[in-house]
Amino acid sequence: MSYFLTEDQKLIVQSVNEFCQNSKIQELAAECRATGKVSRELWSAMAEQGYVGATIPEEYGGMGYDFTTLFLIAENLALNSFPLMGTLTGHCLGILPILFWGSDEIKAKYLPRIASGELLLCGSVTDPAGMGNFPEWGLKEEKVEGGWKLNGTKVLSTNADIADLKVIFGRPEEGHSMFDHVYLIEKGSEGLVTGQQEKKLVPDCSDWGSVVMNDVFVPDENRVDDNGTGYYWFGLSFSQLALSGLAMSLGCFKMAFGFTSQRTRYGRPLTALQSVSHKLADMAIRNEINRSLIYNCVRLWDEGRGLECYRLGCAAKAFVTEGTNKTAHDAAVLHGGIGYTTPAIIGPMYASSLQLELAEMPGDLHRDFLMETYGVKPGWKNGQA
Amino acid sequence: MPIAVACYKWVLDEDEIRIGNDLSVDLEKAHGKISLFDRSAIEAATRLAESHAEFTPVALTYGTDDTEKSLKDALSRGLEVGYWVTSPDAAESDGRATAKALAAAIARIDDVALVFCAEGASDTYARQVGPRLGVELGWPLVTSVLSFEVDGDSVVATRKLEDTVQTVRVKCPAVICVLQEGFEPRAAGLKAIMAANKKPKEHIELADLGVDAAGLSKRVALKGFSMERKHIVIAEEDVGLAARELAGALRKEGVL
Repeated sequence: MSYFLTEDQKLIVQSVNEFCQNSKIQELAAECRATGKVSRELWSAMAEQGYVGATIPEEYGGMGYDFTTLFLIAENLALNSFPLMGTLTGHCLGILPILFWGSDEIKAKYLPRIASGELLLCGSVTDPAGMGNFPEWGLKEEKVEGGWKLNGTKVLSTNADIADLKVIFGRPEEGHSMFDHVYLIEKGSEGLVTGQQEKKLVPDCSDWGSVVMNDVFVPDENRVDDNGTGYYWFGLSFSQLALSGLAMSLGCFKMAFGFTSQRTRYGRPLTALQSVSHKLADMAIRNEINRSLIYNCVRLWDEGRGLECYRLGCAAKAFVTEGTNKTAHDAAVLHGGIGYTTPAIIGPMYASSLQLELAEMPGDLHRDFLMETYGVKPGWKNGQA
Repeated sequence: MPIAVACYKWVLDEDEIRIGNDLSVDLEKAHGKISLFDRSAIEAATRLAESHAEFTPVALTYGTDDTEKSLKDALSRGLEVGYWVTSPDAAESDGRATAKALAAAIARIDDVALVFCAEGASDTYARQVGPRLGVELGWPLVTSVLSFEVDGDSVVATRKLEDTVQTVRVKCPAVICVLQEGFEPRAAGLKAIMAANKKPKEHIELADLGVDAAGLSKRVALKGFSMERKHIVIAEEDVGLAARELAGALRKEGVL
């Protein structure tokens, strides 16, 4: 296996950058940032490029590329500060259970419309009691004739309101380590209520809110159970969040390096000070380690090594997002007081890095998940502190 | 089926060229790319084929063997066939040599109705190849083209000049040099990149074209450029007097 990019992947990276620099796309992106709302027109432009259906098999209207290629696309969108990164990540969390657990019928029903950009998804996991706190979840899943009746709320869900298809994660069966089924609920279904938005500490162009279910009926065919594939694909979702962290860290490094190369003390650039250059070096080292972790994770998946992908995904989510916080912190500090002023974006980036640590649970849970793969059951599953 | 040829040059990526403190130029780490402006020539040919389905847009480039790497990129931008002419001496070629090589290759392609070029390549920007191609082929040439329409066997082109916009009609076949602002290149989608792998490519050795493509000019030195600041300081405290002094200094420098 070649560690580095194929010719196609290099071309794809180039084209993603050209896409982001296109004047029409920049106009749409600026509009998106100004309104703070998800732009469907921008989403459609991504779909036209094939980005949203990159990993959907060709037989279902997708491009049939591997996940490494999807990650390259996502990374380069993020490096260009593309405003729909959160939207894409939330959308991908919704696609994964359909892709890996879905029946042929479910795939045929939804994947072509997802690939075309018609359907935007949300992957709604978090219960008000806490994402991993399964015994205390308020979600009620009642088997009724022809399907299931759902009552409960999912909170802090990206694309909660805008999503055309809500992918609701059900409470795992007793004894199961991770999620094992989802419900696919189409927008406008009776009893489905969305629209309540959370206010982020650092506003971005995302839809982040609640999905409330009042006696929502889900037909049997729209409950998608683990078909034996397992849950290791969660490693992809974890590492996709880490990827956003990597892109943020790369941006922080660039800003910090740029600033300290220009700013002087006693006539010499700040980078001449060892304390400064070592901070920058540590950022650069973290970035390289993080890149290796993330891309090894996704390459393992593409090689069919699910467990190893899952382990690295857990590691990446914990390590990379925490490292991003550290890098953003150091970058802000290197800017001095200016970094704390409104025109400087390094401050909001530091605050924003917290979001990545918290999304899909903070790192202590991922450490638990990682050790669980080695047979160490987390204390909270034993009922212990 | 008329053919629209998009000519492009495979150049070194300017962002990867390093200028040393001594103004020495390090090209070793720079990778190749399709010249930025030539992407507009490709875009022009592709758009023509989209609006006039009878046209087949093709790529044509002249360079060393390395140039083969450019074909997938060019073909992913909507072109249907990739022609690439090579010569070991291509790296030393000037505009004359390049135009002769391209013209000889174009002469071998049947039914060429239009040839698109950029105004210049992003490395040397000599702006010679397009006009020289017109001469070599004996075809009408239109430069600084902002937009164009095909009208029967003619092309009606809008040229953007410094203060005016000029409309020109020429009979095909013709050479059209396009402006970047009129033909913003598209980003290749995943489908187009995938499809590029299957499109035909034809390699032509310069020697087989029977043309003397020796350059008449040779680059003898390449140095980085450093802009020296004037260090003119307007120290006048009175705002009005300072403004007058500034205006005078700018007039003296030819800025105003």
